[in-house]
Amino acid sequence: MAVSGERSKPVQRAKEGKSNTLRLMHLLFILQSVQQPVSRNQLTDLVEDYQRADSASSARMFERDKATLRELGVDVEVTTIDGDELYRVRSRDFFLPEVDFSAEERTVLAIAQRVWGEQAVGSQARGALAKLAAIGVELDDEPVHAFQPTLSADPSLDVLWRANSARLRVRFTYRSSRGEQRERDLEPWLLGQRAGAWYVVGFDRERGQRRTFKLARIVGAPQTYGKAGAYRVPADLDPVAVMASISPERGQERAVVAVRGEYAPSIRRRGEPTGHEQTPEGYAAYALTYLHDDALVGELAQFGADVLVLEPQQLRDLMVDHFRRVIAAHASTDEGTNP
Amino acid sequence: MSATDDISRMFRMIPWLAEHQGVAVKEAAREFGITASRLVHELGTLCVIGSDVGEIARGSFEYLIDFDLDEADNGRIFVTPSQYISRPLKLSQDEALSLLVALRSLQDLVDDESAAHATSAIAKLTALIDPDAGHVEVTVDHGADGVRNLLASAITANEQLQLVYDGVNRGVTTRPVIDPVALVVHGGSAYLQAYSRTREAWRYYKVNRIAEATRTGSPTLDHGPPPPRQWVDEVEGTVELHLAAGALYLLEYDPVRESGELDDEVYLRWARVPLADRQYLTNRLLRHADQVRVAEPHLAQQDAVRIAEGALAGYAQLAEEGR
Repeated sequence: MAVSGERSKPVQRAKEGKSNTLRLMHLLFILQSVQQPVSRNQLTDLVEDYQRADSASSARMFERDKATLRELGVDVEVTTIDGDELYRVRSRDFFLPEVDFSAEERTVLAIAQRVWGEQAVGSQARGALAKLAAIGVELDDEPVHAFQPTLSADPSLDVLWRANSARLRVRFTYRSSRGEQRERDLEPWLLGQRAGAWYVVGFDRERGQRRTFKLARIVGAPQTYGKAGAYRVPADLDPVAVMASISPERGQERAVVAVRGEYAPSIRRRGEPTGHEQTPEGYAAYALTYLHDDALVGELAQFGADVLVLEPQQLRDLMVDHFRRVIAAHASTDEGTNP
Repeated sequence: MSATDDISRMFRMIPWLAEHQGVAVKEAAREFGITASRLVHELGTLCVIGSDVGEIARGSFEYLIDFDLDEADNGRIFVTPSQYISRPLKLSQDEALSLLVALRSLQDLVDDESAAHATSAIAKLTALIDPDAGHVEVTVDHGADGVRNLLASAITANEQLQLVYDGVNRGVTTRPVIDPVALVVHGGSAYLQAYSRTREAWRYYKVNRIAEATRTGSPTLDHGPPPPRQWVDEVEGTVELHLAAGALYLLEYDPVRESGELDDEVYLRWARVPLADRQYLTNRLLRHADQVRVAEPHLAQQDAVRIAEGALAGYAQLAEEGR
């Protein structure tokens, strides 16, 4: 499978990267192969780059290298003898364990590898599959036409994904539903996608409570800050229940509407057939439950005279008022003038 | 490319080369996205790592890899890894999570049997990572499970279907006979791509608007490859809308091309949206009334006004009869 490769970068950096990598490989090999833990002085004698640098920058280089190895999942053991730190690597836990996938499982993995498309988060999944390919889990590269799942993209997703999995605090500017913008400071607990929209749920540090934010309303790029593992996600968090609570509520309000013939199928399917004495000829009456007047008025207005509200009277008045506003706002523009 | 990515690549590359002994230098370089000269340089450096280790370790003397430089000069790679580089690095949390989420999202789309294979693949991957990795929940709006499974099985078995479908723009139920070819996700919702025998054209049907699907008993016909997917075409060009507070959410749901702030007390932002057809804009105007302003006069406004007038007439008649 294709693996995203080296992008063109200034030659100098590419060279540095190369030697850093080979130095790290050398260091890791020594730490793994020694019989006894070794000191930094011993390592300096063995690794060329440490020798060449002056003592202070050699020490910094070694600290950085240790951090990089740990980032890769390598357990660098430290023992202190007579005030001297000694290092070695014994655990082989940083290697991918034995794992195999059946032909059918590989077929679904082949579909899964296309889910993220070109998104940055998807390069992580491709990285996982590349590691599996190295131990022989090779996938068919031909796209499976019959099933094409995709996950929606969002410009903030990549940063929040890392924040969420590394437990990094994050700051961002957020636009409320009323259009006001405010800075937020969040400890992410959960990322979720509902109806194609991404949400992040977490602890809002200013308000001191759980809050849900829609990624589409984040203005600019979110910034992580501080250290990984900066907070704990509540152990009793139920991600499925939290995401379900984001879905629109069914509502308690009740209305009876008349739908003409086979029109407005979404309303007919949602509603409960009922009888009503005012049902016009060619119409059938349906009972609907709903949450807010405003949302229902807007939804029903799209059907014009094909859906008429029979009761309650107050909702019927709102419909009439709404259609008058449609006419007032859009009627005169065909002459090229705005009201 | 960071040092961690690069090292991760080394730990993939060496076991892979060991599995593909004698592979051409060029092919291997392409596989790992580096130049041929870099590949040979790296292997040449890795194969001398280890020669000094005896000085400190007394006994354990080994090289990181064994690599045949002469064969590399002939364009072929032969590598034998030591135990220190015999396997790739374990999956990072982000890698595993990204793949797990992709697998979970396809479970909402495939037939029940494939979904079960996805479940077992998920279990194997989950066993490889820290259970406290970040929580990510995704759902695809795929309608009723029974309908989704029937559609997926019919695609695999090349079976023709009759749908009972809630038409979107025309707002009326249709009953097309279709040859299904694919289930596709767009914007968090599942769509059935099919050739409509009724309309004699390729169509997408939103799965949660399919009220019923029944096998007709006939096999599907080959209609050639379907046209490339185009979700937002601009048959009617684009239109600039001015949005008041009550219509701002359109920015999150609709395929907005560009948007920016407006210096206006009521209309806070402008947005340029592509128009697949006029009905889209008519529906938006009917829904949002004065919360949306069209920057330049558009025929959809006349449609919306006509429909609003028709509705007002309907309500007037209801009021008349109720008296």
